[in-house]
Order: sequence, then structure tokens, then C-alpha cells
Amino acid sequence: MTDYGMSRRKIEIDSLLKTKMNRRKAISSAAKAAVGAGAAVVVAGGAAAYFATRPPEVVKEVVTVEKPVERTVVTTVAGSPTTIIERQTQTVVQTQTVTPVVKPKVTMWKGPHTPDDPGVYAPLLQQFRAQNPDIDVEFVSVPWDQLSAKLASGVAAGTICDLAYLPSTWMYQYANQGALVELETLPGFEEVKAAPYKSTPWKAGQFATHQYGIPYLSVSVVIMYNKDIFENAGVGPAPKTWDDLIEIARQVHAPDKDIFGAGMPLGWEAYATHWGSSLLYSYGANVPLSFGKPIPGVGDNELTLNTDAGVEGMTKMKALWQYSQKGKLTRGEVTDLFFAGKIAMVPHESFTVPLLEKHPDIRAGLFQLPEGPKGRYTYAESGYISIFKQTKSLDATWKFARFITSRDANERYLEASFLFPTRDDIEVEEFTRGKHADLYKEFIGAIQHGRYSMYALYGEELGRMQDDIIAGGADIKQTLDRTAQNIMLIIKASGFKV
Amino acid sequence: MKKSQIIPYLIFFGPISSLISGLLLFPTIASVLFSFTRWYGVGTPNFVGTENYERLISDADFWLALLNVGRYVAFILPLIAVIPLTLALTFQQDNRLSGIFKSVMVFPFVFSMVIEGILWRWVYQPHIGPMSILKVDILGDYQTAIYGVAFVAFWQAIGFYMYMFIAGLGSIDISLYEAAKIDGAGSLQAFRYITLPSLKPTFAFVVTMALIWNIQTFDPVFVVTHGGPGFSTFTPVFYIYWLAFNRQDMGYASAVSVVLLLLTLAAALTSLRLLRTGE
Repeated sequence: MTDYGMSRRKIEIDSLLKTKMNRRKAISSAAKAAVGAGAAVVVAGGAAAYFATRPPEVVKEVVTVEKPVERTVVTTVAGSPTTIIERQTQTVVQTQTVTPVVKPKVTMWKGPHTPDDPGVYAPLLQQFRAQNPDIDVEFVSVPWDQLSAKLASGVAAGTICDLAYLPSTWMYQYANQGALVELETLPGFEEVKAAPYKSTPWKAGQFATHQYGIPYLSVSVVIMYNKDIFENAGVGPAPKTWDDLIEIARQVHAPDKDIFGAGMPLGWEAYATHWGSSLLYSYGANVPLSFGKPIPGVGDNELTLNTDAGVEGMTKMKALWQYSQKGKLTRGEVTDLFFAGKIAMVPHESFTVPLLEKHPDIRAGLFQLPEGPKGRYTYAESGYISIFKQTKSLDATWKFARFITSRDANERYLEASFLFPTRDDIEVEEFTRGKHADLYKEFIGAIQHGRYSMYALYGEELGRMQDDIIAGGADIKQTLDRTAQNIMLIIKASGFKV
Repeated sequence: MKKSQIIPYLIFFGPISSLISGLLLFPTIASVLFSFTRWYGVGTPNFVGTENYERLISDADFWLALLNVGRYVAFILPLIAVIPLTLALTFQQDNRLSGIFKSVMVFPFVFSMVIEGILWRWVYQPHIGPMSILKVDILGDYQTAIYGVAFVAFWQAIGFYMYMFIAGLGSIDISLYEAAKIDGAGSLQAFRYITLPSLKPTFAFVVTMALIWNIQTFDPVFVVTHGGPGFSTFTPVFYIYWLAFNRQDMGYASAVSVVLLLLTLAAALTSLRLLRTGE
């Protein structure tokens, strides 16, 4: 059989592979490779430096120009030759040097408050572009569970967006790190300040005497319950204390019929935090608020999570878990189960109300989170539009920030998101005259019990702590101690002195 | 070496050496340097000596992450050694049915873990997914959640491992089987004394790759459980991510990365040595 010399070639290759290289040769080859690498790095670096520092491209443009021309004409006037000057315009083609104008691009990041934030923002961006053709804008909707990491890595790597929607805690965090622009230094700030903002959210946008955020929206949480499940079990609609609520959950809980007393997701899910944080605060277990910044009307910033109050609060939480659905569900999955008529009560934010339209068979009511020995607390806070100092075009970014926080643009977003205004001149009709106006009133009422703005920062730690205690069977005091320690690490990492 | 010989060196070694230096060597060296600092992502890193490494010894979360990845790997390795090989033996022939099956098996490897993870979360959901029939709560249970995630990772890579074994089987000299048949060996004996020993290099490759990939597992954990419930499915790489981006503790996260690099190297080298013994 002919092998076309393959055998011989294979032997040659084999012998080549088996040839041992002596040390001198090896060092010599390695040195050459290193020289090669060095040269390539120098070339690549040079090319990068050239492209990074080269001046803006110069373009030759061909244009037609109307040019005045004077002509001397000799003519005969009344039989005698006369010289006259004629003035005319002439069209000439000429080339001219033009420096192209690069549009500044403003990028905004925001966690979603509606099922389709980019869709809600699209007409706003279009309007802004029409009013400001010299500015390009981009809106990026970042899922909430990725936003924290994206912001942190963006600031560290210098790839952060120009402006972002920041829950107050994150705003304080980045203000504290010196990453945000002090808005009062910008032209036209006084006009922004003169708008009829509600005083609490406006003041909460300040940190260390500077204004770092323009209030954009307020959120609050209440408990939504299934009226049919409550009536069938013959229980009253509004528990006053946590003990009352746990008792109601016990009475309505019927897992054999696929009905669960409370909807409690595991992990870092807002509902989990809404149950747990409200319980902890109302039992007097405190987590430092926004980096030592006193929130008007709110208590101290001492960390008392790992005290008897914390143990008591978490014991109640564990009791409530007995009457909850099981499984590692997401917030969306718990909401689905509620609207499937399987869950009796679950904490909700106001943007859940419109979903009732899609589930006409569910009769829902609302009540405030119950009281503990130290009062009633719920998640309610404002979010802000803040500008990062790393922005490449501060003027354009400020222009866009003012546009989206303007009365009209802000109102359009609030109407789509079913969240609450931070200024008095915005009235969302749905809240005052809509079909579910009575439900929205409960949410607005909940704002006065607002407390835990740390939720955005410590939410994951608290969520995991809850999991370990209620589902993992961990020792309550030890778990609280560990979480308190981790929260102190986060506060320390943020640069805040405790 | 002559000057003319340097140019080919530059052409062939230069680009790849630059890439390796820029994309692998530089970040590795930077991680080692950061591991000796306290750095929170912004500002100047402060040199703290071996403080981060000392902290690591008493860090319960780190040891839990190591224990979890140990359970994860211990669950996945036997599956990788048995099921893809069985599939490879069944479908190594070149016929239409085998072709279709082999193509289908590679689909999970091609698709994104993000999509697959969301799909599996639904499968595991004890209230509305297929598991609701069995009333089994795999991801919500602290004892089983890590195995639920490991199975997703195994399911995704099964096609890849199957192809490795098919390639290994294809390289076995057919005359060995013919000789064994003449000597009166049955199918089981041929498998025991010819197939398995001949697949030793393939096993070494597959097990070593599986070790490296799975010790460094991140995406199935991120998508399927996000480390939860609690810290029950934290793996070392997820813990590094958590430290760096949740607690912004970049210096300590770097120290954990360096230790993980050494552990992965040690595990890979040990596996290679064990599996190549007696080759």
C-alpha cells in the first residue's frame, strides 16, 4: 500500500519531538521569546498610545459658496465711452477644512421599576434628543441583583455611567467615596431647588452638607392579602401586632389544599427583606442606617441587630416561616402564587396593584405591616438621580438629569411605574381617582412608617441571615453575631467611620 | 542565532506572548499584589502584609465554600466518569440515529447557562414545576441544594465529555479486539482488559478538566441559586465575587483567589499524577 512517504515524515517528526533541548538552548530560546514579547508589547503600547492621543480627524469638505464679484465694464453712454463697475454674485466651488463635532454621549443606568423600563424611557429619550440634537443619550436597564456589582466595578475600573438612579443608601455610599458630583456647584441648580419638592426626600438627597441627588420617586410596602382566603377561614383582615399576624397565618394555612399562610421567598429577595427588616426594627433590633447620616424623624444608627431584641424578632420570623410556602422561590414566583390564589398574604410594593387587573378572580385587600414592642416600621424611601464625577461630559449629563427630573418627564415615569412622586406639583391620577385609589392610599400612608434605607446595601446579608435561621435551622444568636460582623465589614469597606 | 532568525520568533511568539502577558500574567500578578493590601475598590490600596491570609484561616464562610465545592465535585466526578462513557459506548457507531443523538447531546453545551439555569430553576420549583408532582424541594433544602446545582452543571457538560470518550474509543486499535476475540475473550472481558486501560489518557484528561472547571464553578451557582438558600451553595469563586462586589473587600477577595489558584493547581496535578500512574 502506498503511504505517500507519511511513515518517513512521521519518524522525522517523532525524532524532532524526542530531541532533548539542553539548558543553554532552552535559556536562549526563552530569552528570544521574551525579547519578542517585549517588542510586541512596545509596538502594541505605541499603537494604543497613538490612537488614544491623536488629534481629532481633519476633514476636507467640498462646498459651494456665493461670492460677490466686481466687474469693470466699458460701455457707451450718450455716445461717449464710459467705465462702470458692475457688482454681481458668482457661485464657486471650494474645499474647506472642517473639524467634525463629536456628540457627547450620556449613559444612564437604572434598576427597573416597571416590567419594561426601556420602553417607558424610549419616548423620553426621543423627546430629549429632539430638544438637544447635539447630545446622544443611552438608557441601560440593569437588573437589581446585578446593579450593585456593576456600580462598584464601574467606579473602581473607571467605566461607570454618567448618571444613575440610586436608592438613597447607594447614593450616600458613593457620595461618601467622593464618586458623585455636588449638584449645587452646577449652573441652574437654584432652579432645580426651587421646584416644589417634598422636604423629606429633598433633604435626604444631601450628604455632608452637599446635595448629591435629585429626588425621583418614593416607594413603600404594605401587606396584600387574599380576601377570600381570609373570609373562608373566618379571620379578621388587619392584624395589629406580629403575634396577631402569625396567628392569622396559622389559621389560614392549609398546605394539603395548597394554601399557605404567608408568601416568603428565600435569599436576597425584597419580600424576604420586607418581612424580616420590619420585624427586626419593630422589636428594636437596629441596623445602622445610611452611613451615620441621620434620617429626619428616624432613630439612631447604632447596630443592635445581635441583641435580645434581634433574637426575639427572628424567633417570630421562624414562627411565621412554619406557615409559609416552602422552596427557594423568587419574588416573581411568590407573586405568581399569590395571584394563583395559593398565598394568603405577602408584602408588596405599589407596582403590584395594576396586576390585579389581570386577575379579576382575586379579591385583594391591603393592610399595614404590624406593630412590634418598638412600633411599626416598613420599607419606604426615595430614590435619586445622581451624577458620577467620572462623566466625560458634565454639561450634557446635567442637562439630561434636569430633563428626566423635570415635572413632565418625572410624571410620565411615575404614571407608568405606579410609584409615588417626590414633588407636590405631580399628581398621578391613578392614585387619586383611579379604580384602586383606596389601595394606593394605604401605600401612601405607609410612607410615614418608612425606615430601612439600608436595604439596598445590607439586603443580601440580611436575606441570607434569615434563610440560615428560618430554613437552615442555624442558631439565632450566632447567626445574628456573624451578620452584625459582616455588616460592620461592609460599613468599613464603604469608608465610613464607625 | 542570526538576526534573520529573530524575526520569525517575533512574529510567532510576540503576539501570543503579549496576549498571555496582558490577559493572564498581569491580572494574576496584580491579584497576588492586591492580596497583601486592604482595598475597597476605590482609593489607594494599603499594604497589610499577610493579614488577609491570616483572616482566611478563621473565616467560616471560606471553609464552608470549600466544603460545598468538595461536595459538588464529589457528586459530579463519578457521574462524569460513568454516564458520558456509557453514552459514548452506545452511540459511537456512525449511523443516522447515533448522529442525531450525538448532535442533541451537544446542545446544552452550546446554549448559555443563563437560559439553562432559569429553565432548571423552573424544573426544580416545588409548586408549579415538574417537581411539584413529587413534592420535592431540592433547591430550598440546605442539604440538597448544592447537588441540584451540580446536576445542572453536569447536564450542561455531558455532551462535551461524551465526545471526549468517543474520540478516545476511536483511537483504540481495532486489532486488539480481534486478537482478544480469537483468544476467546467475551465483550465484558474486552471492555475490562482493552477498552478501560486504553481509555486511561482520556480519563486523565476528562477528570482533570472536570476538576479544574468544577472547582472554579460560578455560573450555575449564580443563575440557579445565587449562593442560597443562606450560604448553602456558596462555592469559592462565588464567594470571591461576593467579597469583591457585595462587600467591596477587593484585597481579601484577591487573597481567596490566590489560595483557590493554588488549590486548583494542586488538585489538577494530583489527579494527573494518580491517573497516569502505570501508563
